[in-house]
Amino acid sequence: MDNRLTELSLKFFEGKTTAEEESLLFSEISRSGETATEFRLLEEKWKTTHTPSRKTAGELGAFRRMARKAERRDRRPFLRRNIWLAGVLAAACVAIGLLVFKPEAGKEPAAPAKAQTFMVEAPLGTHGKISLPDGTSVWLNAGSKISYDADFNTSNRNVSLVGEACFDVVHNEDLPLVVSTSGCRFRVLGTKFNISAYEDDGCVRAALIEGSLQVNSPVGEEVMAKGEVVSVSSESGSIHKYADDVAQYISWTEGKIRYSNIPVPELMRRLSREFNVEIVLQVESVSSRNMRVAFSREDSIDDIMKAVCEILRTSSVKVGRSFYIVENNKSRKDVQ
Amino acid sequence: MTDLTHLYLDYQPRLLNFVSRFTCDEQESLDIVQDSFIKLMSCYQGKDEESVKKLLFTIARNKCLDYLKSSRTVNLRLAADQRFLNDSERLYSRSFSLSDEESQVLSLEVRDLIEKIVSTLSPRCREVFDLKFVNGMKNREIGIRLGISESAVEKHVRTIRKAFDREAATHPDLLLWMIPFYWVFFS
Repeated sequence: MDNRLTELSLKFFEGKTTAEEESLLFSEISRSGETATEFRLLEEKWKTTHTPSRKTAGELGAFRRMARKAERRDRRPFLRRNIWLAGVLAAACVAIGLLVFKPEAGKEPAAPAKAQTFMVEAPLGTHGKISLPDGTSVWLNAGSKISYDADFNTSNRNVSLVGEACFDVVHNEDLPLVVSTSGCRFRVLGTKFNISAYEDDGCVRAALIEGSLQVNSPVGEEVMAKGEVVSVSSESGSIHKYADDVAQYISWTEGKIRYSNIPVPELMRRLSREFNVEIVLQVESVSSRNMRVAFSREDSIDDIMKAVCEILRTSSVKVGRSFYIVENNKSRKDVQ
Repeated sequence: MTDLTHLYLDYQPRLLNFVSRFTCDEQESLDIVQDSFIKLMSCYQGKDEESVKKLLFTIARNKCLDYLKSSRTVNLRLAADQRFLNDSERLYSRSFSLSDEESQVLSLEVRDLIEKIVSTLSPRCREVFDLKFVNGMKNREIGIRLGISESAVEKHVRTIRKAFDREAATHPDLLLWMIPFYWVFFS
């Protein structure tokens, strides 16, 4: 293969030849098997060494955007057909302000691609509900966020969670959904479950409503069945599994706060996130008590605090957005 | 999608060159190529590179074929290239791992389209067309060969050019249909 033919071949790989040159190249290659082999070797070498032109890199970027759009379109045929409905829903979402959506859209890199991460957050005092690209529904409790990469549902279904979320997972045998949270991993094919992993709770607790769920902590592994709850200690990673009324753990998705046996400090933390207030427990003796409660999000925090304090035989003093739970017969002055 | 990224960077430039050979329109070619990759996305998984690039090329070629059939027009540039098209298409087919039997789809289609247009020309024009576009001769050479002046040859070439342009304009049905819609949507 002489220089001219090599040059012509490279030009061909780069898409810069004219029809006449291609015709010439073809006749040279088909004339001898040796030239054809050299041509193939040259192509393999070119593939590993060439740098794509700016034009091609730009077109690749455009293709990636189109591909993402096409994927989303295929996944949500209903909203695509009812574009106005999608618009109304989007407007409603914004209006209610339940959801703060932060797509951390980085700049489109030329090549090769770096994965984008999407993060959805429900700030304190609010709830959120989203659909993941595979159709899985996720309810986000107050002060929680989940994130996933742009390749979600193509090469994996990994999400990471901080806080509490309820998942209704669309079944997909090939791609298990994996939730990572404070050192634990939950692996599912398709099921409905709730995970509570607030950092200040000191444990991760999962309640399984339907299907099956595999839990991995740094020190162990456990398979859960329907109606079971596991709690994983954040400190030791030990897994404790028990049967419980699991419906109570997803009552928050329906705007209720219902627990049959909740430790008082945990209840206080939940209330403070739910209503975005600060609650300071200043009575040692009640910390070890458990309570059975049923409230609605519609109730005012003042009423709820009054009821709770009545049961615990304590008083609460409100200062701004903070509630202080104190011994009976203490006044506002004692607090400050 | 990392697989496709490689495939894109390695094969997109030459695929684009191939497609633009037949569309003679840069934007149209890019659209066809991008669409082909999008279509490939839904069916490439689990296949080896050889069959994926074969698939890619076939998709793009079918899109070109649709384009040629729907536009029913042949650019004169394509006519000028036509004696190389056959070999050129075979070269591309080979570089996308297609066998020789599977090649020459588009060049044949182009030939048919050209023949259809040329058959409407006068015998003299046809002669000029063959010499210029099939044999690739210069106007002056054609003049000497046919015993006519160079400007007479140029006149024939203009007639040929018009014939090709006319072919493009004989199918305005679609456009006529669009006018009321256009008016409704954009007024």
